[in-house]
Amino acid sequence: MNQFLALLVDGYRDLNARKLFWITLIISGLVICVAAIFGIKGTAITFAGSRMADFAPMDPLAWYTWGYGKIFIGVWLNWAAIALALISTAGLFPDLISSGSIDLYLSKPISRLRLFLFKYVTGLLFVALQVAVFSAASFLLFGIRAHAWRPGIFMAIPIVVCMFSYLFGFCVLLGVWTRSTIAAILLTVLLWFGMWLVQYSDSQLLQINVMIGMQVDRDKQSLATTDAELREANGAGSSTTRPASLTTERDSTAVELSDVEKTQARFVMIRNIVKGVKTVIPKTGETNDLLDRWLLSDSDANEIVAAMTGSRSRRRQARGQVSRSPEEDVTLGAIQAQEIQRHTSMWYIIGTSLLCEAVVVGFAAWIFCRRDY
Amino acid sequence: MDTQGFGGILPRFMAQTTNADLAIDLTHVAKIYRGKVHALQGINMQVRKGEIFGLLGPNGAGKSTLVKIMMTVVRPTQAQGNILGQPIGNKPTLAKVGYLPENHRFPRYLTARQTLEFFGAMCKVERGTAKRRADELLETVRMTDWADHKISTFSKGMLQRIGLAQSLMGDPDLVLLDEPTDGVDPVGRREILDAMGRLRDSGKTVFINSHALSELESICDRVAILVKGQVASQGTIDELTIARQRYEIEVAWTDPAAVRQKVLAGLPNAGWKPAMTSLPPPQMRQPPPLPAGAPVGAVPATPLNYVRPPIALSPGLSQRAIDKGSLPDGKWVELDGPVLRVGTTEPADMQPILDMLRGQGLIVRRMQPMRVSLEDLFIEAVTDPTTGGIASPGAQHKMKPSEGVRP
Repeated sequence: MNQFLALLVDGYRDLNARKLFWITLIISGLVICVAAIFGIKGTAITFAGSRMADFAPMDPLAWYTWGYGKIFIGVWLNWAAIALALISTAGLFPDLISSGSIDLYLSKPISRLRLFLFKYVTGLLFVALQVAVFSAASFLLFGIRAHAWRPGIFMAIPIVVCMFSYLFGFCVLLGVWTRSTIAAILLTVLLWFGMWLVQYSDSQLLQINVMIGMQVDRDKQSLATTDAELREANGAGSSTTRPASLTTERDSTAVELSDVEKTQARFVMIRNIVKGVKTVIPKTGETNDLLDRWLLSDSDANEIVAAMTGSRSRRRQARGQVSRSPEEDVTLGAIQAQEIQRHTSMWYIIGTSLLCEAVVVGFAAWIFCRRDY
Repeated sequence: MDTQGFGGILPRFMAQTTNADLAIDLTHVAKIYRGKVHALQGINMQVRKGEIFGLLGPNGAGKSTLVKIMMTVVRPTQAQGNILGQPIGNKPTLAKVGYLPENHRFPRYLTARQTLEFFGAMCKVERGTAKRRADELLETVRMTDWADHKISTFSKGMLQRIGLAQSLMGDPDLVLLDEPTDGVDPVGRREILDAMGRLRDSGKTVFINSHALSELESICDRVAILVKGQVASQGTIDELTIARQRYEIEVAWTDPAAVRQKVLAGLPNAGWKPAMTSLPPPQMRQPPPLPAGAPVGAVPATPLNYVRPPIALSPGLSQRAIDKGSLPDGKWVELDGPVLRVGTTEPADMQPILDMLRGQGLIVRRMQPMRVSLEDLFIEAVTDPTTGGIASPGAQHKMKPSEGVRP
């Protein structure tokens, strides 16, 4: 048995001995059971066999997939299960480098770097196993309850493991640096929240910028129309007050356009800063969203967003909260923002995230290799 | 190289030994932690192949640091030398080096058998061989009945047995054991010591770091004493003790002042100088006084490590006066209460002294040759010669530039 295999088997035995591994697996099973209550019958989604909502003329499978992705994968797999995985694996390196343990490993014919990397890969085993089981169950669920066999669901394994690895890299660095499991967990969760905040801010700023861009376009179009009308009125030699009112309207539009353009410039600058920050940090949320690309077509995704934002705007108006933008702008803005995000290069999302992870893990490896134990 | 600290033994040893005969050959090994803690200050140490070598020293002397440097757990500030013919730090060499660290922590979720097989794999032992060796070693350390029990259920002694077995999984040529009998019951200790003897008999080299001096004395071929990061002495126990072997004469002691006056007067050319020591008399392999009328020089049945209670202590202080001097022929002599010690192993040298004592009207209660134990050597090594007190534990801090590591 070579050293890597021995460490891998050891890692499996370690996970096997941890109650949290089995607790996570049991919760995954419960999540699948809850998801199995929902199904598809004709054009409707059913709940415990009863028709819950009819989505005609839309394909209910798109809604089923979207709901499953947002709730069961998004909430459970991408957040709760990852948090449990972090808690389970955070102690891996602090335990390894504890006195009396590290001596046993370093005194063997294996280089420090190799030992570090093997252990790192072993740490990813937790999530890989969990996601593999969850994906297999989800595959069966889709086949049996939604009558759609979707092998794309197995893309969750590399995507979620990849996303977890970003956090695990920080966790390992903090664990190696502080030698404390608790410190590693708490600081990693803090960093995770920071990453989410940056990505959420970027997403919101993108949507705002799209909508401001629409406002600018609308104002420019209005200005052009007013100019044309003004030229027409002046050319006709009208002596009525129409040219004066057109001039007032034009001036007002020009002032509004100027204000909106200033606001746009400000928001573009803010977004550029946020985007700059986002570029160098791991993109956990966007990595998770890659699964949507595999499971939902662009048209289905746009229809769902249109339906969701439209209903939100209607609710706001019903409560007397008049939106600052017209409803169609909100919908169109959300769709455009989503399209931009869905068409962001996968290599940019994963590449920059993995690059950051490589730097973090490299630093952790450097500390691990240089330290006296 | 500082040969003074080795009592002149090292040059003789090096002359007799070639590099091919050495399992460990260290020169100028130094370690400075955070630029101020000088844990090791240029260690020179040679261990022959096929011998059991003991490393002793007080807490913080640098023993574990030295072992960890050899096992690549700690990176040396400076190090030259070889282990099994390969430079220190050469990872492939470690496949042939077994190591039992102090306070080791095995994965608690593994069974004894899984632990051995896992660390066998880490030593690059083939799977089939690892399984076979694990069974053999479990038998050797008498843990076969516990082979499939989790490590978390083991006592410290059982863990130590598994640790020893683990260190032997790679069929090493050199085994470094850090406190191997720590926490092990007397039967287990004997078994571990026997196992070390068998390893030596099979040509393996055993390097032991331990505080169990009597165990080391019984099994080690050679020892080194480390004090404040330096080798205070190194060699076979006989080589180290020969200069300290002596005769002791105990006289009847009714009036301490009169005894002292008579002895000092009887040996007027000894150049007596009073000295203070904070120690009780060294722990000797010394018998209780002979019954009255026993012939001088008779050796009674001796309980091992009989410890004489301290005598003539100053009130409130563990210090007492000892008069020291040297005879005209160069032999050292010291008077410690009713005991006169003379640095000789020849009974003939003692006859004039006996005559002198009798001539002074003193009654000789016993006279016997004394052998210095390893514990005596150890205590002597850690005693500050200027103050007579035990040196404080720990490494040297903040050395002056002129006291830096010798190249």
